[in-house]
Amino acid sequence: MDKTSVENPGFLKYHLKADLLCLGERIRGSVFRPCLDVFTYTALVGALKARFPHPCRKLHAVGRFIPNGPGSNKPEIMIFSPRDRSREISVTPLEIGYLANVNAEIFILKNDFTVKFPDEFLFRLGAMKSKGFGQCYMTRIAEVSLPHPKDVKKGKLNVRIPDDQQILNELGIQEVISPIYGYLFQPKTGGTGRYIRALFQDSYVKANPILLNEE
Amino acid sequence: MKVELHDIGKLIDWKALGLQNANNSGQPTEGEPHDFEKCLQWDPAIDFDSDAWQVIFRKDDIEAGNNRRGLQLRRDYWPDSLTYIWASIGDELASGWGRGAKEREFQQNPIFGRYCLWTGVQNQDTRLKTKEALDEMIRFINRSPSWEDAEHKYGDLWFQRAETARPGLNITSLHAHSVLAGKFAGIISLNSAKYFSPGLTWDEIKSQFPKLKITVAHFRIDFYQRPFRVSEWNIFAQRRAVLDGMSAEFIKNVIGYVGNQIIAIFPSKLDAMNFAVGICEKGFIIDYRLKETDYSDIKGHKGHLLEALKQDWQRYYKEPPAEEISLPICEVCQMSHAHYHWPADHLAKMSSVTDRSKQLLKETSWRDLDASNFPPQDQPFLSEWLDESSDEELCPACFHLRENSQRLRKLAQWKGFDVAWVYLSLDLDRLTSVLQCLQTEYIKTFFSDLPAKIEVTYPLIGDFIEDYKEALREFNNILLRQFDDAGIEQVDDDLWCIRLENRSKAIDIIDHFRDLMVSRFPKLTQTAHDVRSPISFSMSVSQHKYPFFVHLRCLKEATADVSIQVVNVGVANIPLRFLADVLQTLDHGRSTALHRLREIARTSRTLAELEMRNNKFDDLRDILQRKVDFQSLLILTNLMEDQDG
Repeated sequence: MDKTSVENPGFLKYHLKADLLCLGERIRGSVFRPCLDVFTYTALVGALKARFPHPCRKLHAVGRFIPNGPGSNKPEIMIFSPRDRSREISVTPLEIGYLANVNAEIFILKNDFTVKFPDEFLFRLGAMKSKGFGQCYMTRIAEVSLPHPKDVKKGKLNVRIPDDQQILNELGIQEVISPIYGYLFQPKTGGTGRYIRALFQDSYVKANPILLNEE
Repeated sequence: MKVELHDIGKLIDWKALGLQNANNSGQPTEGEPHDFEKCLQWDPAIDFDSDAWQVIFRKDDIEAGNNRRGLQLRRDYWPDSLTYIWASIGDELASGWGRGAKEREFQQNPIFGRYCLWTGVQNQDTRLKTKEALDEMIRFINRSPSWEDAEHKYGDLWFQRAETARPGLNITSLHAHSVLAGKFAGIISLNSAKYFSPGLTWDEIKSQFPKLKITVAHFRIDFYQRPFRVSEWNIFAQRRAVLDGMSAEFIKNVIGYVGNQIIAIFPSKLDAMNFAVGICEKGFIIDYRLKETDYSDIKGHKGHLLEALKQDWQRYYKEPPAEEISLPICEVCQMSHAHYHWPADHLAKMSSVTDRSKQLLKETSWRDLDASNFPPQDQPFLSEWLDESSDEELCPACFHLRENSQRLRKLAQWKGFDVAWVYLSLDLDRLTSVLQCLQTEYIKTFFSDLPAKIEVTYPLIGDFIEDYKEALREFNNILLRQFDDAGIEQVDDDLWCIRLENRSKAIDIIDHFRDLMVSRFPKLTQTAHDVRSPISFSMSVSQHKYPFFVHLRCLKEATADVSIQVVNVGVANIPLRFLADVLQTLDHGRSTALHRLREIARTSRTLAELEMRNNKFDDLRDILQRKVDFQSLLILTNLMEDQDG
């Protein structure tokens, strides 16, 4: 647990709204970039750290999409032709999956660093930022206390989280009952990175209800 | 052991032969003697050398008067055999709900024909009624036939005869019961012989029940690869081959196999996990849920065989995957390091390619290659690859999969056409719920107060699965008749890609599905409003070059009985019970109204919905208020009129 003391430990709950969001996966065959329908810990934390840079302070965050009418969080596909500037030619058209009219809840673990985050702010999340995707409007709506031990539930994860015991503890995952593994990209300095083992959505866990699908 | 033959006597009408005592009104005054107890002095004589008679004379008491005649026969003819024990246990485990004490609550005139819950069809009593037929059966059994011989000889009679003739309980075929009894007997015998010895009475056998264990497992097999191009469709065929192979190898264990799901029984949980290992080692994902149970109350545990379906799914991992993977990661499965470049490494292995070209392929980035770089003799061949393929980084498993994929020649010829991806699926959890509703309704036609809680048991599910697989084959034939072999790629038993001459042909496919359900599963089209159909139909329509896994995601994640996606337009969702009404609304009699609404909706969806309240659209208003939403109707209308939206 982040040792910096804070009253009423828990999560800061934000409402996220975005017109276009591309939670991009790896490009397939250089022609198609699918879009996820769940948040990844690495993408969220990376984007928030870029917005609120601090070399030393820890930041943990998860999110989940929430329905808001028939057109919300709607998967779409667009085609665009990227240009190879070094060769000054257009390359094969790329199809991008994205979500339109995004509504989501983001939970940022509260510590003496994150508690100072503004009640409202903008940040950029996901891929294709230079094309106008990923501009997210965040509005703080509540503080969510850590659940009482008896309120910790069994259920399926609604987010992708690195399979790192420290992170799992911070977020309130008490027990991984039946994991579904995958990999998340973790960037390193110098533009490189690695893929780290992660718990994917629908992993069956005993955890804070905010991390679970609502039954 | 031929345990499947234990109830072959139920194919005979013993009363018609005068071998079942009856009163003056024709009402039987004794149980049906279908264990051949009245044939011990028959001509033709029973040949006790045939081991098939062991499973028939399995009971202690085969004649009235409790004289232990069966027990004596066993001691005389099969003194060292335990077969009768396995047959008895298998029979108990495979029997439908209501065997034993509960059966006595269902007292009405027997109904020997099976009633099919999902068609509402009552089979006639087709039991054999002549002495010649009985004689022939005895001679047949004397030849120690296999179960396959018996299936062939008595064909449809096995399916038409109910396992039990109790009215309200006559819903399972004798065939399903017999097959299941054979499998249970086989599995129990594997690890339970130490508890039994030849010559035991039934009471002595029952005293060992708490020691008997069996594991029922439900497996769901999937793949890590997320098929993106048509060259990756081969993964479906590979999975099918693995499933077919495993179900054949484990034929004694598998009691149900449909789609990508297998239900199987094992002597222990360890044996069930060995099955999972076998699938996992072939590179596939295996999710499982299982229940290990004992038989302290064997009669009460028949329903518990379906307890496996109530457990939570778990994913099997032989060991956790690596903690990290260095770049690059495989683009296809995203679970392993990518060692290969496709197609460069594939082409570099070809003996027909010159060494110079191989060197270029290995040393130059794919995107920097041009056909003119290569020696003239390689240019025609390699330029085709350069035009059609982009560089992909693959792991060894996915590279191997891609190397062994078959080129889908039909799809390559569909340029300029739209395609419809069609997927049918069966949800076993929803099936259990629906069958329970149908079963309760049927029993209530005989007994307004149900004797006790009714549970669905496995033989009923087994019968449904066989009918469903028949329906899939029929659906395939229907599609072939309309679209021709050249217009269909059957990717899997339940997944098709169909070329559409125009988009309105997609409505024909939905029509065919509706007709199939009405003819094969009419009761499923009449269920209550809060019950989802166990059979789902998903369709995704687009231009032919659209990325395949966009379709696949829609097909697999559909949330309605009938789900139709038109890519970049939207998704129409329709409950199965309203499908016929919705399709009727779309027919020519109402298309003018729909056409007008569609035109209005192009300007303003809100205005179109306001127009709906106009009296001219009474029929549509009714269907929209109760049966389907406006968006869905609009999407279907656009399809019908060959429009995008």
